[in-house]
Amino acid sequence: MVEKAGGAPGGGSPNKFALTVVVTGDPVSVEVNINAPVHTLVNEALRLSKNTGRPLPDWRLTDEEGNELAFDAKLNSYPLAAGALLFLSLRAGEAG
Amino acid sequence: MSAPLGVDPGVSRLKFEREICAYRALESTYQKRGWWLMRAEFPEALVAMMTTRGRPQILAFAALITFSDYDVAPPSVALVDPFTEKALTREEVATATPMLRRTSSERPPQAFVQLQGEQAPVGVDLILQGFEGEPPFLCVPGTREYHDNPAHTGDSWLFHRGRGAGTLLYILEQLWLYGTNPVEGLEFQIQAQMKPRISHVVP
Repeated sequence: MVEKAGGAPGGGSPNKFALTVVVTGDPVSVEVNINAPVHTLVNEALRLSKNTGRPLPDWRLTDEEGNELAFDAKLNSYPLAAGALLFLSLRAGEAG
Repeated sequence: MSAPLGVDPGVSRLKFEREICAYRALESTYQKRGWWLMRAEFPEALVAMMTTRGRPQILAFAALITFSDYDVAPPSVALVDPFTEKALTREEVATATPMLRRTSSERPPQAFVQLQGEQAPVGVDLILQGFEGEPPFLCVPGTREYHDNPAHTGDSWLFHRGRGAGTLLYILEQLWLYGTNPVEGLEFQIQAQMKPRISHVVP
């Protein structure tokens, strides 16, 4: 379902594309393989944004409409175009 | 949480402006979510939250987020009337959006609320806490009201500071994810009552 952008600028791999992930308000550009699981993107976004203090299950990745992306699903199972905007933010937690 | 020593307002202002700049950079995206930054004057940011699914859209509430002593202290969040900035009661917020959250536990607590119809989503109202008739508080880590509450003394803000919670976007996302985004429209109910029309009274 992923729209391939024809490869990265300069003729990179056709299976790689860049997504913009907004981590707690700050956007970072992450290049990933479309066949990789979503958690690969999440880990890289957290590393680039220097948000490595919380475990992965504490985070939630959503698209612009608020639809959550499952971490163990493959990126190509979602309708993501190159340059798509995703949001990575902390979950609110269980307790009230 | 004990009262902070007090942060140099210049430091808090700088961090406030950084939050606002980050918001402005993606403002068109947030506008599609129904967010409208009405005012951003240190230490306050006033953001109106509107539903976007279905017609008519609803101006549900405004979030008044105060960044005084930020970020030694987390932001304070109040849900207010977007026109008068008067604090809304829990019931007034619920008329526009019930702010429900699914839990992973098999047995929801007594605050279980089931919407009309068997196919309707089921959730519990844990996001907003407060007494009937009074303004509620947003019960998520990263807000001043959460960390100041006696029930959360074991969950200091300092455990969360700088780790993702307590930013402008984080707070707005919680209000949107649980508040306005799930709302798909209004449901109107009309109740007809049969009432005899009496032309005169017989003595």
